[in-house]
Amino acid sequence: MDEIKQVNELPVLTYRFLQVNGATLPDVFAQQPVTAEGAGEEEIPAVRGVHASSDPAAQERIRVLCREVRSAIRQKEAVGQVIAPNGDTTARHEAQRIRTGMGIEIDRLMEAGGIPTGLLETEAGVQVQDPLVLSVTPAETGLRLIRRFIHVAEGSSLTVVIDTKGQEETTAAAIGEQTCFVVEKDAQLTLAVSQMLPQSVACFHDIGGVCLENGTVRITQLAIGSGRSYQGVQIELAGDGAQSEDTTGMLVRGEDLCDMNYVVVQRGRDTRSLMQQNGVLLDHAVKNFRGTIDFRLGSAGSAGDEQEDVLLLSPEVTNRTMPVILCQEEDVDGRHGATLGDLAEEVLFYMASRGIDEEEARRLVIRSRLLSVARQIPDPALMVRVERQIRSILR
Amino acid sequence: MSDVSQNRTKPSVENCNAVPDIDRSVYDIRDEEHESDFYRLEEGLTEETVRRVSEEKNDPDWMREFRLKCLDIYNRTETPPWGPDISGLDMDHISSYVRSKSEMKGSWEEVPEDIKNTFERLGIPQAERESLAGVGAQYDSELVYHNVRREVAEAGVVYTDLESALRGEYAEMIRSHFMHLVPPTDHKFAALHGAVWSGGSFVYVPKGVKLDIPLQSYFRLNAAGAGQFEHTLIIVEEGADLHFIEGCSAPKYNVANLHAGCVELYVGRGARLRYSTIENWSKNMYNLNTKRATVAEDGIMEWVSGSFGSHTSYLYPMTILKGNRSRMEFTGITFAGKGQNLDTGAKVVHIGEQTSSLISTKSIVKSGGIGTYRSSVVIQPSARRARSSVSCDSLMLDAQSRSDTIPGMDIRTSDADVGHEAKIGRISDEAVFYLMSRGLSEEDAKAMIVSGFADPVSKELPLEYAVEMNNLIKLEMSGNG
Repeated sequence: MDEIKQVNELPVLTYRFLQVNGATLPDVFAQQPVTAEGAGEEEIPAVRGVHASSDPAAQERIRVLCREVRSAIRQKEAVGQVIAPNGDTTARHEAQRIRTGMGIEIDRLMEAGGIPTGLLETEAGVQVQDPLVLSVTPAETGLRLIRRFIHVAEGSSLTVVIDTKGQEETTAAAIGEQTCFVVEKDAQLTLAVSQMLPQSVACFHDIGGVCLENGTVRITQLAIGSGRSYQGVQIELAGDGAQSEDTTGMLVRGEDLCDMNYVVVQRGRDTRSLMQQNGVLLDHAVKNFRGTIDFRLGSAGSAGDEQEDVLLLSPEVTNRTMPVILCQEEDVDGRHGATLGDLAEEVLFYMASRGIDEEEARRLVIRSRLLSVARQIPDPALMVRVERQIRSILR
Repeated sequence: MSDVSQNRTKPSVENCNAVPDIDRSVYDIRDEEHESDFYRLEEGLTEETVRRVSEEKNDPDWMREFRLKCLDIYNRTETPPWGPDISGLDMDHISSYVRSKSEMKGSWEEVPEDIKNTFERLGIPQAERESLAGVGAQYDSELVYHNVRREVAEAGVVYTDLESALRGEYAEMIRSHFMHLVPPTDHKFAALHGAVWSGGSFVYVPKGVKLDIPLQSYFRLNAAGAGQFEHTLIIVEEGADLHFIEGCSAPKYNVANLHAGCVELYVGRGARLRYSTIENWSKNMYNLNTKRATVAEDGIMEWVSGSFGSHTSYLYPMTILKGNRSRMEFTGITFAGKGQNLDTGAKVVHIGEQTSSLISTKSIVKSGGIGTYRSSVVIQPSARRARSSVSCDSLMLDAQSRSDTIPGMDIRTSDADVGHEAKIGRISDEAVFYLMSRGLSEEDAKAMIVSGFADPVSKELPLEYAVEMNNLIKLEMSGNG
């Protein structure tokens, strides 16, 4: 665990001077995870209809599930001759049991730390009514790592809320999470991730999963804390008719860094993906966003849309954006759009005409942007905390 | 350019949208290289090779030292890891310098017969007579013809080969500009260019001079297994205006050819430069070309770029918007067919206040071709109130091909307005059905839709060149490209 990990690699490399081909995790992630709490199992509350375990049988079950989805993906790859894009980096991550946004280095980090994977599983056909809320906090000092695997069985549905938070006085700590999922035929997973860590805590959340036939995943992520935050998402829409929707809201301030790599690989016919980024950068913040829609051979009839809207509210911010579309299928509709800049003068003018000064107008817009994402998280208590946190930052 | 070739349908206003019948053979004419008429440097790249090129060119000392320094950088620099595969390009089998034993001429009559015939077939002398202010024609590594209209020369415009400029009145100007915009450390092939460059043009447009008709350089690489490394240096002074057209082609061989040219453009205060290219290299060509412009206060840089040929291309014209209120427009189209991997796009750096950039590209792929749109927009902290808009559309004509868009944006100020949109899709069945219901064959319907897709680029070109571009599209659509 003494190497610095290269993560969030762009699926296709580009000019080095843009500094977006990947990211390096800070040194704090090179240490051993702290004992007991750090390397131990995640506490999972009991929710009717969800089985949770991290025993050896669960590890074997995860291996079998991964084998099955890899086989489904291989079948999709056999439809014709694949032409690799220029600068392709995917081969380096082939050994991952489920491809994730941050890549194989996170698997290695977890394995080197001996982190067991917690399995959360639904039964076929069961619609789990209550959201499963996982509360994650960093250790007082040192590195905490958590690894989980969500299996949403055929025809079932599940909502998981991951609430990663910490106390302001926590120092020199780091927390890393990996969440993998398999959404079976006609199943639905809603994954809501809130990260409200103190700026002194470095964190990563590495997400990866596969949706089979008509499987749907909705991911909502809210990142309004942590001085160094890394997020990766890779979704494989392997089955025909599979769908994904990924909405992120982020607020980056001070000298903080937020580094993201989101990838949707569309393999099945008639798949749909939507990626939306809503961000606000303040002070000297740095934000790197890589968003890739990858239409593979066989994904005929599919559509993918990626939209980024980032408010840059300080002359000292750095915003790097890489909206990539890769395509080896004729009958697809892929698009992306980005709007980057300060508040439009018309908005400020309108606000001024209603007696709201520029500073207050900015506060209103920031709040409404982040709360529009937060509202998608099905946890009223969390919503209240998000609002309080935003207010405290903007004070 | 070759659009005014004598053996093809003459374009006219009436038939320019109808896409006349065309003949690929015009680009594939090969002239046999006789030892008695041509000098060819042995294959490979060593210090000895570089010294020999330098001797051939009778370089001043500083240029010889510069070449050797570039060779050292080339040997120490890695191939970029992000672009198309160029493992098929073996510098040990490329001759860096091939020239006719004839000197450069100022009249077509004096150009050796076989070379003159090639340019006649490509339509260059006719174009010069009809619509150009000056022409430079390069054959392999050297210019064989250079001429500029008397009235243009009298206005103070300098249009000459770079070697002559290097030794004459403009020697100091060349020295202070040559490879300053594209330093040899930029990338491996910029270093290669610096080591073995040969040929190319120098254009100087004095303050306030506006040329109503364009200048053109045409680059023809005839020799098999050779490289062409021409250097174009253009300086447009304050308030001046120039349209420069670059054309290129080569016959097809079974061995790799290399084009690693370099274009450096200096646009002065309030000046405007339009640089148009229709590139139609043969499909054994590795086109690793570097083009860059710097624009002073209130200056305008316009690029119009059509990439149709070559086996592999790395081509991203870059603009540095240094002066306040300077602006750039890039309009480009790339058509990648069978066996082609064309990685093209544009780069812009905003430094001055209120600078603006507009990038609009179209990409078409078919029959196993790979088309990649790659770009970067960098807005530095000083570029307050900068605006940038990027739009790239890709058309997939089958599922055996690839089309990728890899744009990058690096924004370092809040006081900027940046927009980006991209779209990938296919020809709609409804549009084909509609045109077929009006009596067109499916092939013609698709060709018409593709021409319509390329229309924003055609509109930016002079009529003759727009016709040539449509011809090339039709050629590619028919599968004979």
